[in-house]
Amino acid sequence: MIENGKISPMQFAILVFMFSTGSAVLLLPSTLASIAGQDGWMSVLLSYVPDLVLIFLWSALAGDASGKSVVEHAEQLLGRWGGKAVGLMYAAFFLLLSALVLRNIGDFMTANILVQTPMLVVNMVFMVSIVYGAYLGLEVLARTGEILLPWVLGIVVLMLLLLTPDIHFARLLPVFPEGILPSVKGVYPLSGFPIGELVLFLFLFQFGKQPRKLRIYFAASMAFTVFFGILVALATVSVMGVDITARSTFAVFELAKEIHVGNFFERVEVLMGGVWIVTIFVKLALSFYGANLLTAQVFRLSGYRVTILPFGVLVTALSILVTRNSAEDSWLIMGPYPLLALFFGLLIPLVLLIISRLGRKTA
Amino acid sequence: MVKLVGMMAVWGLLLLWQAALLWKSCRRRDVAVLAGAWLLAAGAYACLWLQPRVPSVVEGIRRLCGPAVQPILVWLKGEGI
Repeated sequence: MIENGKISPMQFAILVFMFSTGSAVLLLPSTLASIAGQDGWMSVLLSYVPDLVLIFLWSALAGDASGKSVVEHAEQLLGRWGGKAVGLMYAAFFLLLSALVLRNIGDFMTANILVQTPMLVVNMVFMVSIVYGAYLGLEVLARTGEILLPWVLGIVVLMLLLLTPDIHFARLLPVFPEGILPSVKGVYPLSGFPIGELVLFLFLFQFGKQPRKLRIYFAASMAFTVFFGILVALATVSVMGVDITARSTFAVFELAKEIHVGNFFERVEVLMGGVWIVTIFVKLALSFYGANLLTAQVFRLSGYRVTILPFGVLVTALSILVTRNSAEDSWLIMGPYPLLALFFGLLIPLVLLIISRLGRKTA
Repeated sequence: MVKLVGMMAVWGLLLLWQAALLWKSCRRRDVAVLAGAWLLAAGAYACLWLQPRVPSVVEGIRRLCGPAVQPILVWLKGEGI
């Protein structure tokens, strides 16, 4: 067996939450504000519809695989080489995703905290912990998520409470000045980042202890994520206004800078940076783990750890090569990335499910 | 120079560790995939070395499918993007 670990539905749900908040919570408020203005929160709410559709699709496909890996199931449906090609494409996608996420953390650290440190060094140091986490396996990552979740929620709730004096609900008005269309448009970037990326969990269904409960926990976790996203979108716009939110690359970090209690409790934005590092650690470790797992499943290696080291080195180099600046990053998120993520998140699983159901009918 | 020697030392240690792991497993399939993965990593570092002559991945995507993506951006944010 390539991976012997098993995770409970609750751990699965926590991983889903950490993965989907990952880099999105820091980067998306500005994208949403630039598309939907003060109604960005509505885009987050509407994004629950594609969430549910995809969760239904993935759990149905994982149910059809009945305990086997999705790669093995694809090999049964599309033939040996077709299945392997699908598995390799997903491995490549998760490697690209890992590089993009690592790039995000590099951009954030070199822009805000370690201003004079070269990005390659920051990324290398971060990647060492990711390689070690992925080496230890899925169970360890799940337990890490369990330990870190209360800290993440606690710090965000504290931040929101401390921001209450600065909240001006008038900044959220007027509601839907141009109708609901801008909010619907805001769902487009969300459908790729982070919704389409959640396809990673399609490959983790087989490691769940109670497979039937996973779908419910998945949907519940996404509902909580949407609620969390709405709170963040509302807070950023109601404190900073639409213009500043749309212009800030890391809007939530900028938001935390607004906290001033008396003249002594200030500069708490680094706590928010800490929260983001924690969630992004889980996201990056999972996507990196997914790339190694799929490579091992495609080539039938003795374990997923075989490729961990060279892939760690590859992802570090790719993180520098993937984009040059945040303008390119923003173009990617708003333009082709949702299409790419939906190709992997929607199209391929849908084709596999249709073939699987047709095959069952004819049999 | 110091940077280069340091980098080579880190790479050497990593490769030694890999060799030790391989010595334990000795599966031909594992060795082949591992060699392929190291080649990919070396290729990525070669591209890194050649920057800025090598375009970024996103720049490559933009050159390939920029015109196809433009209507989406216009739809999302209006004219003038």
